[in-house]
Amino acid sequence: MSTASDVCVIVPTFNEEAVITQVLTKLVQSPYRIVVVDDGSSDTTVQQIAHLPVRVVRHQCNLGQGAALQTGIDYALRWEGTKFLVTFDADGQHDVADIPRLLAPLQQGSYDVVLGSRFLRAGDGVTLTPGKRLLLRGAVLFTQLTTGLQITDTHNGLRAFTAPAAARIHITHNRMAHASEILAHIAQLRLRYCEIPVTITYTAYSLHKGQKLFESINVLWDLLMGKIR
Amino acid sequence: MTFQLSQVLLILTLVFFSIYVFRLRTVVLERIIYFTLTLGGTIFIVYPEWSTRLANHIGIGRGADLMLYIFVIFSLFHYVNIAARFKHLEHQMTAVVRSMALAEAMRDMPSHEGNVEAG
Repeated sequence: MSTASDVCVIVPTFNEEAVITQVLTKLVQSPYRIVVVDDGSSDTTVQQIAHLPVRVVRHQCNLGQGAALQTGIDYALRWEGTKFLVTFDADGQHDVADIPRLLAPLQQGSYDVVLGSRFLRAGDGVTLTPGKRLLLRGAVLFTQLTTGLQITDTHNGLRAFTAPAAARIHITHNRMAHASEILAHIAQLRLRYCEIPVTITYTAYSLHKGQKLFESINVLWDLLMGKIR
Repeated sequence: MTFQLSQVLLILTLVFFSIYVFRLRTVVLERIIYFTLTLGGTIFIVYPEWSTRLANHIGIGRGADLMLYIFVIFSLFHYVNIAARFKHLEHQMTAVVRSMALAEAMRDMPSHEGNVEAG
């Protein structure tokens, strides 16, 4: 049976000085190991978290969230005793209380990957703007067509992996296309996956930091170029 | 035969370009492509009417059109080349930055916890 301390939560950050202390203060009350991957922040993010009981891995320059996640995964796997890895966004949109529910299917040994979804429960997603909902639906359709995965939310930053599954996933898209890339790996490696409903809190901050509509064109471009290469 | 000033300037530009390329690019295929383009360009600068004759041979009305098509195709080739190079550099930079970040973080990790065989 596993204990909570064999769980490593990876938090990629980039210029999150406004919220990072608040987000991490909640996280450190949990029994989990926490790794913050600072992706070359130019603000005071790193100083803000210096006093907290978290491990910090710092990129010397900004590479992108995908690269930060991969660095976090590499570190977590080197941290002896890590059996489960969780990815958790730094902007305050995720709820720490969702993590145990994400881990449960992994700890029972029935799945390799558990993905958070904001569209599973009745009434989920109603707080989204129509534009964002349409965009996310489009991403789901794209993913179902290209990978065959039957999932409802392709761009949720809250995920959990077993250590062996995480070791087989290698994110090469440095920027935002990594969300689709992780799913593509799950499909290719035939990992056992499931979705769990999670709560997303949209604050003015997370919406501002979140991706804009036009950036999805960049993501699509990254994915297509990745296929051609 | 006499040369126009514009012809002299254009040929000089091409000569400097080809010297630069030969010093910069050591891949044989690339050298051949750039050399062919420079040679072709020089010929068409000296004998502008040849481009029209060549164009007519392959079903293009004017030499200027042929030049434009070659220019566009070469630009696309060049763009793909640069993009691939850029991507390669990005991967290399990611690997370097990541290994530096991990090395620094592992150094700070309590020694009994480090597991060098993982990852």
